[in-house]
Amino acid sequence: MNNIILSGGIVELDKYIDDARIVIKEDTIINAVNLHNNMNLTIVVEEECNLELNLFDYAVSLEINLDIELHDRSTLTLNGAFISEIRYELNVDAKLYGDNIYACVDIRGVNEREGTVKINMNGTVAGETHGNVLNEYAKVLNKSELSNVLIPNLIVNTNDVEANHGVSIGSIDEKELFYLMSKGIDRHNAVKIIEEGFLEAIMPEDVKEKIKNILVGR
Amino acid sequence: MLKIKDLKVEADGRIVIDGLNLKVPSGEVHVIMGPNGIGKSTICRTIMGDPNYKLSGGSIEYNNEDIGNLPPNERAKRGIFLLEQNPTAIPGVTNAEMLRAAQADRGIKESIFEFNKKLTSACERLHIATEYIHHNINENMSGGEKKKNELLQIEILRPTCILLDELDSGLDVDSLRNLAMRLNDYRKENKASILVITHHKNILEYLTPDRVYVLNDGKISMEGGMEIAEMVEKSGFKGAFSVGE
Repeated sequence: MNNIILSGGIVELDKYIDDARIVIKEDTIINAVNLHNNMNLTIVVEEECNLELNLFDYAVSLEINLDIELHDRSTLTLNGAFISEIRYELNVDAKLYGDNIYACVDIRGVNEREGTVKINMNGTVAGETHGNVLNEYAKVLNKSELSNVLIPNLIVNTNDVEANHGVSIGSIDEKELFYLMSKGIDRHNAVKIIEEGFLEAIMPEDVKEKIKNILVGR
Repeated sequence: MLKIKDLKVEADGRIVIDGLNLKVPSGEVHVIMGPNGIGKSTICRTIMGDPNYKLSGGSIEYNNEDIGNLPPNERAKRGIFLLEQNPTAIPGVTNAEMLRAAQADRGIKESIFEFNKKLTSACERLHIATEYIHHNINENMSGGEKKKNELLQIEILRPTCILLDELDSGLDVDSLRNLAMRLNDYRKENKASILVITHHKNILEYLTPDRVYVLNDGKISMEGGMEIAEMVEKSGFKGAFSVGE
């Protein structure tokens, strides 16, 4: 296992980092875009540090395990997007160990015809903590006949907390499809535009651009 | 010319339009009025090919071609444009992306520079900020902004038949005047026809109608000129024509 200390800035994660413990000591943005890499990451966000973690993968088969510890007055914004062709599994374990922590996990995926998806989001708020906010969301646009599993778990051991979760599995919005087709865009391209917009909507501009480049000609 | 003959439309298992006839020649403004829930929007959406509205009889022709079985994109490519009452928002998709895809699917090949130039000059004509181009489609926009946004699309896609579904809803007086006047200029410049769906006469002060119809029981129950709209304004649909009873 690699031990990595990050002292701020924007970090583009390398595909060779597949098993690592990362300690965040200053405000940091980590981008992991299309690494096609099974990963086991343990991330520790120290007191008063902010972490933005942007994950994107257009993958045949992938398993990502994220174990994230958050300490006093730290924040986590985890934006995850994927297109699954065969199998995509994401396990996020966010542990809020201090007070006044803000954590938001927002995952979006498109599941292709042969794809399966498993998203496991565990959010644990430790006992005797105060003023924490924990949000977990996952949405999947499903084109597959196979099964999808989305599990949002909130394990809350204190009463001074705001914790929310929401998951949905759906198909392309017919209103959006009609709208784009009524502008002269054929069905195939309209579906592609909606899917890509859905994935990119949660991403910052620089990551959005990278995703666009990856999906050109999809 | 847009020609609708004996149109019968089903939605949610019931007949909404039953025997509608309409002819809108190039360059003309025709208006359909009627109270809420009578099926006015159904007409626009059926012409545009919304799959929620089933064409169960009659025909829709545009420039002598039967378009009743074409998908919405093919109708758009033939020049029809629907400006919805409440235009759909699409998160994560910008106006520029959508318009570029729409141009590409029309077989229009232009460089990003030519495209941007076209968009910038359309924004100038409409007095809107060029940032609109990079906004997500109709996302977090007011009613007026959404409709300006649609007008921007009209400037780029250059339709020849515009279906205006209650342009006046959600617009203040000044915005309505500006948008309607620009649409009228566009109509004149391009000999485009406009089918206006409305409850009120206000919009017709800027888009002078060639023909006004009142819809009742799924068909046209009354037709004439501007005097029809004036009677509606004065006495209401019930008072003037016993419509909606």
